[in-house]
Amino acid sequence: MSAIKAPVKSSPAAAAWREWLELHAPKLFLFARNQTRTQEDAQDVLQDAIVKLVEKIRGGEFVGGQEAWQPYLYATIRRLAIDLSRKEDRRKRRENNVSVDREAEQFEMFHPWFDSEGGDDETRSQLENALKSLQEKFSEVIIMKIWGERTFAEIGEALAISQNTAASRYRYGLEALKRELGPARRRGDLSI
Amino acid sequence: MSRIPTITEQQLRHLNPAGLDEDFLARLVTCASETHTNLSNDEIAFEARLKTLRPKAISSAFQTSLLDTLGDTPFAVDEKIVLFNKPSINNVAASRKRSAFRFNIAVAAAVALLGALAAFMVPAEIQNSQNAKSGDLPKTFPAPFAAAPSLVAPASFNRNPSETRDEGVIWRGKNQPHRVLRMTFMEKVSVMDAAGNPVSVERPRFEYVIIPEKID
Repeated sequence: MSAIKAPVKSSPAAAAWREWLELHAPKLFLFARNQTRTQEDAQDVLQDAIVKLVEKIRGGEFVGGQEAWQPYLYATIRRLAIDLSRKEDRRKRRENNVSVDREAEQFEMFHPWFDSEGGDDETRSQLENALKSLQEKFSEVIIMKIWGERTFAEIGEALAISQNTAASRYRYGLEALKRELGPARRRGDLSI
Repeated sequence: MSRIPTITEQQLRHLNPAGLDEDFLARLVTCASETHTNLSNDEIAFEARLKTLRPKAISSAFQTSLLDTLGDTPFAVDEKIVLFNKPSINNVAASRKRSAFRFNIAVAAAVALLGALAAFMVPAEIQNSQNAKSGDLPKTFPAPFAAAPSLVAPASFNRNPSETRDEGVIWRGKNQPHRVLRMTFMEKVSVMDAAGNPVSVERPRFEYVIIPEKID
């Protein structure tokens, strides 16, 4: 993950927020991309989720400290993505425009979800495709668990399911990923 | 429906529910024994391999946009420490003006105090003789105040915090608890009189700081 270069604000809070975002925003953004159709939608959803967090903090309504921000953001990203998806569906029904989806797919090809710093673009591409081919209810749990580093209890809370259901979906998702990646792994095309 | 026909009931009773497949049965067993969330070694190993791929960093433009969104939102490091943003340049300038204004008032107060002291030190016969010559109260006050500024010169000004006290928790709007800290500053103005003798005046000043507090 490359460090982000941008003008550093001098205040302690701004510096702390920057550090926090550099550490956690990529994970949250990955989850937002999993939940939305395009990179722009994911940006909008993540930004709106952070705005809601900020409003709660400023208004003194947010219960809990820094450790509670991520669970709140995961749950909010998911809720906003569902709202956005419903709006998009309504819009598409009105416009009956299938070319929008094709454009979005082509655009996504140039905006990968993962870094390929080690030069293993094949692995990244295969895994990303396998992850996208999973049902969302499985891929969202895998993304939150592996890259979001959430516990099953936290995932369950964010997705409004029990932790056992989260664990079941995780296992099923991992198995499906293994099956999907199996041929490439046997051929030795993958580094994982 | 008040009654199921007997023949249908008997036919249904001959049907047996299908048995659970082994995987699902094993899953139910692990749930019941509260071990369902424990991962196997294979799962942990596969998870670790997947984790070697890292989510792509967000673009700097998007990050700047997020930071703008955050604005001057305080950053809670933990329950006790909350980082606040420095005030903006305009606020700093205004704050400096206020500080300078407070400094000027303090110096003026010290000068006035010294002037008043000087007035008491003027010999009584001089005052009497002036009043006797005019036969009435003077139209202009014989002014230790006017003479005082030339007799003293500011030497130093300090406003060091002398005490910080936890005043406890208060509840503000929307049921949010806040901790109140009382900070005491002792402002000290020193001036030099015409003879070069230092004179100091001290004045306490109090500031209250209110910080959001987490209470379980």
